[in-house]
Amino acid sequence: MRKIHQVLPDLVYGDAISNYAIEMKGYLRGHGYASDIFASRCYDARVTHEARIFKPDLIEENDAILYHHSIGSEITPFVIEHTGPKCLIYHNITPARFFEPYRPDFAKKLAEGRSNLGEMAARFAVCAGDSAYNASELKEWGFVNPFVLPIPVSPNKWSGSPDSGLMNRLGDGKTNILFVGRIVPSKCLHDLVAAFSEYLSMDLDARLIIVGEYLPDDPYYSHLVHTIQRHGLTDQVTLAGKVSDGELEACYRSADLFWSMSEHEGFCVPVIEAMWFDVPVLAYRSSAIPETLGESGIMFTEKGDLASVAALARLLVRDEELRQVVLRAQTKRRSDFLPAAVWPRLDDLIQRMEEEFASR
Amino acid sequence: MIETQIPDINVDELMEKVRAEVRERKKRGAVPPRTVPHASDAPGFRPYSKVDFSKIYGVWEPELFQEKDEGYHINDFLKYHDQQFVINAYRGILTRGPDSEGLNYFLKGLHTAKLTKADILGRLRYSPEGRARNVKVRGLLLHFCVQSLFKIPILGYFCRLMISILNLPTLVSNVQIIDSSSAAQFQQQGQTLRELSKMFENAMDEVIASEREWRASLEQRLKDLEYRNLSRETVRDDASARIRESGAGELERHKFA
Repeated sequence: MRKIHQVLPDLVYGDAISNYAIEMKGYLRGHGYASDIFASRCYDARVTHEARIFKPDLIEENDAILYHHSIGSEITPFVIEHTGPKCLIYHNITPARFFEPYRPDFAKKLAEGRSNLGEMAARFAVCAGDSAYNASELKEWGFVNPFVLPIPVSPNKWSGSPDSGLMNRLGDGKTNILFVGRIVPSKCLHDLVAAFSEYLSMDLDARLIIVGEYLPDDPYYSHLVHTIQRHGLTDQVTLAGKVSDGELEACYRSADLFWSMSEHEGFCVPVIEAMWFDVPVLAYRSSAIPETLGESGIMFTEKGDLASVAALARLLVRDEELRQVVLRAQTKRRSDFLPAAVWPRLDDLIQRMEEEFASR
Repeated sequence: MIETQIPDINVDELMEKVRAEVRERKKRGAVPPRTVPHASDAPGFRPYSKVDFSKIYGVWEPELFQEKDEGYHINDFLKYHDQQFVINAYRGILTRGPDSEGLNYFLKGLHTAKLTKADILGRLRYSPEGRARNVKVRGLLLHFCVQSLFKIPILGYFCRLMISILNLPTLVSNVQIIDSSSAAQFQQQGQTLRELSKMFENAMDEVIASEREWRASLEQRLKDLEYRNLSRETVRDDASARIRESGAGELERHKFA
């Protein structure tokens, strides 16, 4: 097997799955495979050179395919029918219930994408989740013996030249609380704003920076903006939108705490990134978060008592002893996701694909 | 509430620190006012009040009590009930609202059947304050005397029995009136409920139609946004390149302002 291609619906700049695919392509090419990324859509000039626009005749019958599955797309039927070696890599699909109150049509698509998994189980003899949480979900849908192939997070990704203007602005002595992730209902950013409102009663000189893409017409975005206004926090909360790598690096470097109230994460790359910038992580215990944090980070299990959650956040910011204990644990944990630790598992996965194909 | 797998952290101790932090904050009293989530927080919320509530109030609102300088007939009071009756009796006879003690006392009397409406009117009218006001209530004296007569032991019982027998045709007639008026009222209430239901159905139809319209326009705008994305990214890249070339190095972003 000398050709291993990756197929995914969208290749997007800054997106965790897209970055994963690009890294994987580099690894595969470095190990002698002919490897390309095929995507249905790839608009951003910063990543267009990384992928080819998908056409069925570009992939030969015996080429191996690593298919990154999220919600169903026009390429899904092609991959299902592909007779060569193939593996489905599952990054999880957000449960539809989160989107139902805001974007019912999209919620329907998510529900369909999830229910398609049952049908796909019989067509993919080899599969993987990027976390044990995702792998266990594959198992529930009838996939056999799913593999766990985590997302590698390397500090080399960062150029070491954070946006200097932003660094100056964020380095004004205020406490910087950071969350990185798309503005979607499952991330529960409205809860984060409410909790931050409590936090401000203990630390008036604080700001909350939410970095992540949003659609200006998205009802959830409007809801979040309204929530910020209702709490009177328009001066303390920044919705930074999608930022450049330099700006993101500035945010991480200036952050005093990474705080997540998210109720659904298939892996959560920003948590590992925060660890590389020595930012303590405080997160709501949900989905894959406990697995990604492993023996590091502090989680809370209830959202009912926001005053206590805010007090915990405050301790992580100002209690130097606690902070150092957490950072030591995070330093250890982050190395588990270095490419050197993750890619050998990809070798095992490729071997399994070869064996499965040979046994047909 | 706290969970961690960091071996060096004692969760109980950390929890105690959290409690202390919360206590400290409460002591400082720096808690900002919390805002209660409101229906208007809902996405796409638009105030909607096309239902004509005046129609509904028209059905349920009792006839307003009119204060009269020339005096009253006892029936001007008797058509009201319960609390409204006591309030109107005070307003008409004593030309003031009831004090809470008086209101509670007379209401309790009505609820336990120890007092009739005529009793209450008579007690107010012939109290020192009522006599001072000297408001005329036609038909009250006879009613009040009769009611007072009923309270005399033994004699009162026979008087009541006799008057009740004499009043029997009027009582039967009243029962008929109550029966037919109740039926009419039920009918009217039914009609009002049907109208109300219709009004809500129409309102819901309008909400659904406007929501569909809004969703369609949102989808269209999303499509437009998708198409525009490529060109916008290109413009942004060009701008970044120009800034890098000029050595400025700092791209001011309005969103961080």
